[in-house]
Amino acid sequence: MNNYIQSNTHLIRLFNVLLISILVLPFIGLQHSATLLVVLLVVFFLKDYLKVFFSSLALSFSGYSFSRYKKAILVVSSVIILIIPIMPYSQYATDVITLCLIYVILACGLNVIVGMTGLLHLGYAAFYAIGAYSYALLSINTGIPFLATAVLSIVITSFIGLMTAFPALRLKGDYLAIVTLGFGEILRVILNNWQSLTNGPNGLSGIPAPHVFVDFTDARMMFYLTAVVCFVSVFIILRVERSKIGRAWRCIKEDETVALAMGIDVVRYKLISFVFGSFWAGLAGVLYASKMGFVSPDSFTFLESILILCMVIVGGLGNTYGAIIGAFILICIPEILRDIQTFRMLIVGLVLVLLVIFLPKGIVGSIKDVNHTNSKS
Amino acid sequence: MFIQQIINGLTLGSVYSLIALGYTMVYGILEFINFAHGEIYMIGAYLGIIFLTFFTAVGLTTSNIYLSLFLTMILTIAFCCAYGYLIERVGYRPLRYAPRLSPLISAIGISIFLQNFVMFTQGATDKVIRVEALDGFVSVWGINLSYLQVAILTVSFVVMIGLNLFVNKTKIGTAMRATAQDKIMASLVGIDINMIISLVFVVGAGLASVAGVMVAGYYGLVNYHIGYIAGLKAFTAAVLGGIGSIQGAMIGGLILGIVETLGSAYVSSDYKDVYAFLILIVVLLIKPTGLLGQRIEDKI
Amino acid sequence: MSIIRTVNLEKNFGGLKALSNLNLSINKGSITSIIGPNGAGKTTLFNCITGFNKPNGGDIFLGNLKITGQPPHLIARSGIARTFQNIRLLSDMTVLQNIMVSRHINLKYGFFDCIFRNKHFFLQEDISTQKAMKFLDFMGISEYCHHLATSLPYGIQKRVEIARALSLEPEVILLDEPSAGMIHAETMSLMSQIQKIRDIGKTVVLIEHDMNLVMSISDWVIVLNYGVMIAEGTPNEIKNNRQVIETYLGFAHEHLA
Repeated sequence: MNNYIQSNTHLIRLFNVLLISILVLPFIGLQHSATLLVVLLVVFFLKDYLKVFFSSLALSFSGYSFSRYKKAILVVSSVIILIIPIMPYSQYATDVITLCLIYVILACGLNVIVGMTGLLHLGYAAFYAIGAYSYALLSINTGIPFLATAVLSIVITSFIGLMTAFPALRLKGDYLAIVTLGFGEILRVILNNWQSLTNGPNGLSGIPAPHVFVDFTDARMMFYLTAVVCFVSVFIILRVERSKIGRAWRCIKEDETVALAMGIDVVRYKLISFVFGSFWAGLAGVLYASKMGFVSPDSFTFLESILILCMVIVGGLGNTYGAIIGAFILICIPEILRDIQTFRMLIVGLVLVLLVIFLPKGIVGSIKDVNHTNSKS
Repeated sequence: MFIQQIINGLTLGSVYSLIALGYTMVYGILEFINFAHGEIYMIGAYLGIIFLTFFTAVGLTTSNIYLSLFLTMILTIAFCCAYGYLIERVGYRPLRYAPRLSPLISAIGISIFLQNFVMFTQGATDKVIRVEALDGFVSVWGINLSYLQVAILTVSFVVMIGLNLFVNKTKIGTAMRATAQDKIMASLVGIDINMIISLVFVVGAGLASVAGVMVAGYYGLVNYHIGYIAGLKAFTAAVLGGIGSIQGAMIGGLILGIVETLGSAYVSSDYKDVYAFLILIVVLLIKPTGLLGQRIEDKI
Repeated sequence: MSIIRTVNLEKNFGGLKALSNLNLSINKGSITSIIGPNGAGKTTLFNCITGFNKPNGGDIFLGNLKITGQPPHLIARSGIARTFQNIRLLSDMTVLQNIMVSRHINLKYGFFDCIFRNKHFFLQEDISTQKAMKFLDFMGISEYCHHLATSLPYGIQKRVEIARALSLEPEVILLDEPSAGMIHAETMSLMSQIQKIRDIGKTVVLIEHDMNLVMSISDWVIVLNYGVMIAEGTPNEIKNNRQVIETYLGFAHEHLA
């Protein structure tokens, strides 16, 4: 009986492989789909060997105890990142890393909402956009100094976060996701169509660079400013995470009923989470606008929200370090793949699927698991 | 003029309904938003054009246009059903017992993959098709109905009635409803859960592909990103009608189509993508379960 | 002196009367057991007292405070803690972290204290950790404090839940079937622990099906059937109450005999 079921699933898998190559036939033509079929069949028949290969790879990987070297890894990688801009011919790298750091803030901020509190937020890019546009409009149209403009933009973002959270948090789970998504779409359409204020799809240009004592016009200066802001942000988020507030969030994420029974004001803590998360989006928006000197609705689409969400998930939901790693991976991989431009989103999509299936707890979460089993045995 | 707009709205709405049915059925059974569903619709539209072009190239269209259209439809539906099956099999089944967010992320990954796969293989520009035989229109009481509008309305109507009968009257439909209510219980009475879930994906994909082919003919052009926005709106329609409810998805789709058409005709067409979401947010705030959805009390 | 009192408490689910016209009072510092057949409304009563279900009529008092229809977190703050019928520990956290979650209301510091980590913050956290350890010790499970909560054996998990409820420092603690699924030896040690909880001055209310446990530790027993209180009294009175025996006949008369 058992044997029968086994062979049956094997056949079904073979059938699926054939199906894939038939399904892509209308799109890529006979020749390519035949090639694909051959490749898939080879993989299919060698998959047992591949499994052995990968598990032995994972085994050798798990020999290291990462938590022991956590501090060392953190310090070394920070130092490397910090000296890159001083190196010669590093202009491009500096730009990419500055962008990475902005996304680190975004990923950590979204991680507060999705990872820690368990509120699925699909419109995070909207708040990023509000931060960026507020800064752009205020700095172009008024003469307020940089710091005041920045603070004001972040306050506006957080306030709009609060205003959307009030009605949205009455909803549960997927409904919340869809309302935040709807909010993001509405905002994007408004940015595209409110010509007089936002200049529509052409965006706003000529946004002044930050000015604190000196002008941060140089890319290198901008990088160090971003690095400092990013460091402080992560620091603050980690501290809030490791307090009664973070614990309350985690409890709400896992079991709202228990949270209520423990005297946690669930609605209030969800609000705090939402506003706290929006705050970082606003901050990242300000940094982005002032670095680029230009904002347009194209930078804040639904795909952007999803990209930030993916950073959080790739690293490991609810783990701030994971969000940091996720941000670096998801910004750097497409940059590395820039030469095969048309391919790259294809690969990003595929990697996402493979990651959730094979590394369900994200990168950091999986490393933690390995360490846990090691220390037990 | 107003009636004309209503008819246009109904046409658009029935397309949304067809897509929304896929969302609502999957949600009813697995409680998860199948983000890749909109891409099935897009693939359906592309396949329709690819097959029709192929049949035209081999000369079938000139000799027998109806056979050619019929074959295009059948082949597209078959292919899309297979896509639906495969997506579930590869992307979602391994994550059946994973945390709630995982299949959602997988779905987003598949969605990105499919979009870019189509863009990569078919190009980023609009793909245009023109079927001259379908260009005419009928006039009833001064209202112009193009042949394709008639076709869309009739086909959607028939398909939806058929689906309702299928779900409510057949043995497999009963099994589907049982699975939606309680998967463990259903499997205990001998229902093959995996088969039912696959079936739901297949049926949903089939409906979306019907919508895709018809829209490709209706607008005469497709693009690799039409699936995303149509998917979002169809999902909105499903939530509007009460997600998990089949009738709800149909009604929600129609309402959405009419509101969008009227909105862009009488208010502003710049904001046509906003109306759907505004309605959604208002409905969710007033009646979070949607028009036909039922409230489920949490068990403590 | 009564600490929890219900006055004409009513709760309906659709047409079903889960609780009807319930007047009961629970004495401060006692162990009160609520027994009754399945579907008698015991858990519904707990849910009404803790605010998870809103009563359709009547009132609930905690001491002199009216708590009818208050949201659950406010009721928890005013001094009623509970456990759940099926274990609801937070799976990704260690035992100690689980307990620290319920220290929430006793941790008095604000948002900016978290960020600046001042003296006040550390003082509060230290006190709370010590208290949490104290409660784990009290339940005899402090050795497990760094284990993942859900990796522990069932009986231990039940005790973690009780420790979690205790660490809210409530006046009243409601235990929903604490001995369900336990073996005899575990039940015995649970009994002594429940008595210990009473001895430190807490009021314990429990829903139980284990008549041995109920009869040996309760100060007062309340019997519900179809949402109506059919009897109350000391364990001895209940044992000899005709109506109770009739209700239980065929279910558990061997325990009562």
